[in-house]
Amino acid sequence: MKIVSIFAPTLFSFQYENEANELNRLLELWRDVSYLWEFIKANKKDAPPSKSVKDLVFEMIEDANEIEDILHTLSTKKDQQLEQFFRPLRNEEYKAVMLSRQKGRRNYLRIYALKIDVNCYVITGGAIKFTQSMQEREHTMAELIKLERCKAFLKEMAY
Amino acid sequence: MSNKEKFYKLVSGEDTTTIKQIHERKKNRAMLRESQEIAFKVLERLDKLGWTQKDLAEKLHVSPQQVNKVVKGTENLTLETQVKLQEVLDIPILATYYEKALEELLLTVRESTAYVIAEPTIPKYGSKGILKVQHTSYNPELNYPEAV
Repeated sequence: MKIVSIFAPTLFSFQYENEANELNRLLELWRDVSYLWEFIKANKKDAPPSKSVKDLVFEMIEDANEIEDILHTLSTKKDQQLEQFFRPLRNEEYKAVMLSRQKGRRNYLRIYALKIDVNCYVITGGAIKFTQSMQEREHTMAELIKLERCKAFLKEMAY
Repeated sequence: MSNKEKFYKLVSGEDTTTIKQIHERKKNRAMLRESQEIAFKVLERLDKLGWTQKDLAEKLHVSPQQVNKVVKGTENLTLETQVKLQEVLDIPILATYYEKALEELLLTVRESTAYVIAEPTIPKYGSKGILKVQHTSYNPELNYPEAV
């Protein structure tokens, strides 16, 4: 795995073996109608029953557009900070934690990152989350594992 | 050296592709939206017909990879592809689909009601009628004939 800069010196992303960097991979995936269609069908029991497949697909596409705009704006405008998007993964984290696990969200979409410093983040992955906790489903659990792996990598290499 | 500086040393380099793709996606959002709408219609129709993407590729005489691009909704589809999809799947993609449907509907309505509704006639007003009075300039001294 390696780290690439998206909008230096604020936003970075992990890039895993034979993949695009995580931010680009997710932004492409969340606009792929066939992927979203399959995902919703496969996770039908978790998806909100009041919404049709079409509603969900196009909501998620809009949310992905919004995330792209937000990250672009916050990373490139001098008077903006990424803290406006990212929050600690654990809601009860009140004091500064080294390499704190963070999440940024728009409805069902999540971007996961590690906080390097004020207004400096490295994205580790992301997911469509229909359930309350990340441990409930395999694909969100995998994102928790990625967060831990990346944190361990940084600790070993730089901290 | 601070942790942040140590972190910067780990960064492999700038991923210029991502920035380029972000700009491209932002610029093409309206086109992508149309492409995504078509992709959804195709997936919905395939599901209803019980066809696979491979079945559709065969009917369109294109490769399965091309159909895969269509259902992703990330392609700038040619007019030719849109017409083919519309014809093979019988789904509305272009305005012509609705125009043809409307023409057929009007034809059916006309045929089915031809024996029931008589040709409408426009009432003709004579020389003593409303039209004559309207063309005369108004003079309160004169006794005007009542409009019929």
